[in-house]
Amino acid sequence: MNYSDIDTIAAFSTPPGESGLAVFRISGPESGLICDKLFVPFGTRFPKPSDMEGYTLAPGNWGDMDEVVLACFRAPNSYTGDDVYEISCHGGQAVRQAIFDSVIAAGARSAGPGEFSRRAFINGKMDLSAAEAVMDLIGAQAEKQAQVAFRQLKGGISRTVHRRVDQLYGTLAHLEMLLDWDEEEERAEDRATLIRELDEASVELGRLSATFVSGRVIREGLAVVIAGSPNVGKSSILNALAGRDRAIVSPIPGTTRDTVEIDLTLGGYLVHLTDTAGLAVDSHDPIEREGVTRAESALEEADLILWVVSPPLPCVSEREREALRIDQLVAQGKPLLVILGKDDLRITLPQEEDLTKYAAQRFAGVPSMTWSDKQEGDLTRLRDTIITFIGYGQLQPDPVTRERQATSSTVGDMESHEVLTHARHKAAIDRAIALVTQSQMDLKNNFSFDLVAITLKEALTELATITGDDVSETLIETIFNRFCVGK
Amino acid sequence: MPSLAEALSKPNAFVAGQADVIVVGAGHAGCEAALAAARLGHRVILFTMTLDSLANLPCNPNIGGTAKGQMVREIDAMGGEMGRLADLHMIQFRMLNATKGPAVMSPRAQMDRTGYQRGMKQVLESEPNLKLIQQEITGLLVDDVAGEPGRRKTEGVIAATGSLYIATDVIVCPGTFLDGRVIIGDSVRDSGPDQLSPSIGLGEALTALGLPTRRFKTGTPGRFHRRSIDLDRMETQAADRQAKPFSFDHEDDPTWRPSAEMPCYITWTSDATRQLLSDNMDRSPLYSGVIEGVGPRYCPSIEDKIVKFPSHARHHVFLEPTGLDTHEMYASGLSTSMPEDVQRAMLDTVPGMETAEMMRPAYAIEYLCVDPTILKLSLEVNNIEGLFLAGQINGSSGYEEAAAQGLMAGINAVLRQKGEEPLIIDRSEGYIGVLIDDLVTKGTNEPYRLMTSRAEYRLILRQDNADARLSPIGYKIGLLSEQRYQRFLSKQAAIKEEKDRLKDTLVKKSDLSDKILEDAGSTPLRRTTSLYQLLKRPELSYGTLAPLDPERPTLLPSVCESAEIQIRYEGYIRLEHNRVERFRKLEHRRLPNDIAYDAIRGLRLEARQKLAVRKPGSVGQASRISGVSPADIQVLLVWLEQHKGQAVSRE
Repeated sequence: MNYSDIDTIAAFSTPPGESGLAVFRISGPESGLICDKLFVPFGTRFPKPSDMEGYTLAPGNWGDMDEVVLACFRAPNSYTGDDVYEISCHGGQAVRQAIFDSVIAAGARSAGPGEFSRRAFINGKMDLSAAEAVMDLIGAQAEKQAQVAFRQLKGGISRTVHRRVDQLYGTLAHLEMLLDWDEEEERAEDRATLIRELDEASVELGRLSATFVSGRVIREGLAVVIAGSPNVGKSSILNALAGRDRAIVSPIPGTTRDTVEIDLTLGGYLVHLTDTAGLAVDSHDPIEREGVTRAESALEEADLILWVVSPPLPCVSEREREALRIDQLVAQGKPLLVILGKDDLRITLPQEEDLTKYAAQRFAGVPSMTWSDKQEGDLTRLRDTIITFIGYGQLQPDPVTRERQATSSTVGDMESHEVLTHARHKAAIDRAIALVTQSQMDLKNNFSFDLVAITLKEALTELATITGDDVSETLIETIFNRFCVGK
Repeated sequence: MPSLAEALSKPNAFVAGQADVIVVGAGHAGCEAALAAARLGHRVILFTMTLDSLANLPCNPNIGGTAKGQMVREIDAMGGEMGRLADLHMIQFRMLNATKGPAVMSPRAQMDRTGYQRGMKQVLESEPNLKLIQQEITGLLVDDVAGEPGRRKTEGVIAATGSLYIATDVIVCPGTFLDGRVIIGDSVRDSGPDQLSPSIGLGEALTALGLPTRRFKTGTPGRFHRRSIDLDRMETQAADRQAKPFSFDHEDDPTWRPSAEMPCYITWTSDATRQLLSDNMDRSPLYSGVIEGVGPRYCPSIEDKIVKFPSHARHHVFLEPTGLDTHEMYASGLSTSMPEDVQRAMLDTVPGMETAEMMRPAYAIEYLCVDPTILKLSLEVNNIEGLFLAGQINGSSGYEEAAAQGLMAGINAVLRQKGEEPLIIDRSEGYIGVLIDDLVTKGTNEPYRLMTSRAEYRLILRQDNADARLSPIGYKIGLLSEQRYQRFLSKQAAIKEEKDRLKDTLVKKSDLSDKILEDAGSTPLRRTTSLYQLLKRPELSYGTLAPLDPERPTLLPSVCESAEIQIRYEGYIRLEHNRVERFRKLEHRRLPNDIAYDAIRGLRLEARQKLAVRKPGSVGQASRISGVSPADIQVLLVWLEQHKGQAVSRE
């Protein structure tokens, strides 16, 4: 457990969600060094961040991510009493995520709720009444932790996380058994076995990390973008989901020239739905071309893309271009659902126009569903698919996730996932993965077992911030359960 | 429990002796406790039930092992006795984990058992402030502290003869003798180990004081005559060619060497063993319900291994010598509480043991111990001034674990009498700290064995630097001589000097350096590099670099060892020191003994109750109590800041 007041913590101090500007705060002894690594001031007038004094403002670049203004408040003249650096950046989600990731990767820890205030209090920067407020905040947090613990007792999360983490405990237990109980010196096969076990453990952790992509989504909303060629019925999907005629629907191709955005709630989650202009690139109409540009940038920011294909199928070259674009997006890791639209017309169409066959050939492996706004039940299916995606971060949950889905009472019963959906958890898991990777390298480079064990234990300590395990105790239990130790 | 005044008011009351510190039991805990207190200038009486069996090694005939070996070096660095004696009586030395890294390298030695016992008796007898008395202690003298309800104080002990002995500090270390019960099949007898009398009465006295007790179990395998074992059919496990002493007194001493280099031998149980034991499982007192005590998972009996690990076709058995003057061999791995006929039949199923003459049968022993969470980290019982517990009574197992607790209890009894703060070794300073903090803060549900995996800062708690970690403390307390301390200081200076020299010694790229590096499995230099940097390459060592270091001075082996480890692992060690810094921050945030936890807003109910009962000494210790959450700790931290400088007390 980490209750340290001497490490460096970081978090956005502006609320989540899209905004013009956002402020990211880093506090602690390493904050200057972290900014040195990432911040490049414009021109030569400004010293590097760790050499800034008192209160300094400097414009510059943050990595290659964004143009920012860096504000430096040197200890003790800051909100927390530590060295504090505040980054004013643009408020787009991608930028926010990139800046957060870069700072955590550079060694800061994601700050817990109320942690800046607590630090301020401990450093004597806050009076008693303010401290009482902090106390209440912490009290509330304790309450929440009790709820979390209760839910974990019920099984859901801890089973899933533990199944993933068990593999790593098993490997470290194996290593510790060799260190504490093995009478013999190192054998060549020990090292090979450990490397293999770590491969499996990191695959498991990777899966765990993948189930958490929906974390930000649950707190800040899911960006769903409807895309496809002109006149395939994109707007009618938006209208169906919105339940009212927010977008203008007409049979003339190119009706939606700009992007149309609405916010709605699905299964209790906020969804930012964007309908795009049809992606007809050869249009000569400048307004339409601008619409296409906007559609492309919406796709960049999308958490989920609904790509609509409808009869009649376009010409061959158009089809090629569309398939290529879909492949690109999938290759980028964008979750994408192909919607086979105007399904009510299917029975009237010739065989070669059958969209399900077309999709199976053209977009093999990409999830798809048939759709018509005239068929009852299609809207429910589409809504459920999006809700499931929010819950699991995947359109086609893997077997373990499915099992979890089966055991949870309803798809809407996502409360237990909330615990796992914090960026803090994702950050912890990703750090654990990095540590596992490092220990694999160390094993390959013939580092001694004791050093490998240190790195692996750190990985488990990271994960313990989610599971609440006492790493030492769990480890010792695992050793005794799996290995016949002792003479 | 009677008070001294009550005991004295009885007819014919006889005060047979008076001391500053009384130690009950002369096992490994008691001997270290008595020696430490006596060497610090206090008058000590050490009681043993029989003078012929003190410092006994009734189970495994060795000292050291993983984590334990490091701790023996720590005991020595603080001024304890175990390491020195082990050096004088070892008959085989091995450095375990020599290839697995410096954090886990662990010295272990087979002992000449009777030699060790004789040696300890001589040391005790020649200690001027120490009286050694054969007398069974059956009661404690304890009185209320006037004006402080709930607080009591220790006044002395009562012997089985009725005699009274007076002292304000009593260290109780009865080991497995406390209400001991030896079990072999369906034979159950009140007994200590080796047919020695159990300690009856003292357990009742502790219970009467209100201490929570439970029963633990441990066991030992049989002993067999060497001539009857077919050692030729077994694998030989030889001593290391280069033995290393536990004690810094013998370090780098060219005249020191083990008394012998006797090998151990390895054989395996067979499928027939498994069959035999499975067929007779209903006769095992472990499974028939005769044994109630909780046994150690790290040291299972052979029937336990077969039940819990049915997929293991065989289990190894080590035949270990037990002394210079005996042919008895210890059969490690065959610990059992099966009836004698099953034990004999089992020998037929172990290759090389078919004709073994059993000189002592294997047995299980059950004993009474106390829940150690009632202790302070000084090993003093909460709310009973001057009563200390050390060794197996605290739920630990092992000679080394006992010795470490004895040493600390002895020191802390003296410090208490002097009115000084107790000496607490924390988890980052030594395995001694890990051991005591685990017992007192976490408690234990089975006989506790120290392991390296229990330590958070394993790379710092090495065997090679036990002196660097603890000798300054031992010297400050007064257990290390001036001469020994000066020798320690010059060793540390030599290590630093050698590290500096290696930094300044540059190796140029040349045909010679290319060849030497390639021969060592490394890559040629690209530019001039210091030996210090070269030493960080995993494939190189201080030894392999010698040809590139013509100016190398002749240094003591211990200096080379420490310098090499410090350089090679510098990065990792620095990271671990950073973690220790953070750990110490909470460890140094003291919690007064009389905080009214009930009144602290924001603490959860469970945490309030646990903290009120356990009275942790620091926020760090509080954070390790099960049931105290991170949020509770944050509340405590904020509360402490709020009440900084104010008198904190219960209304």
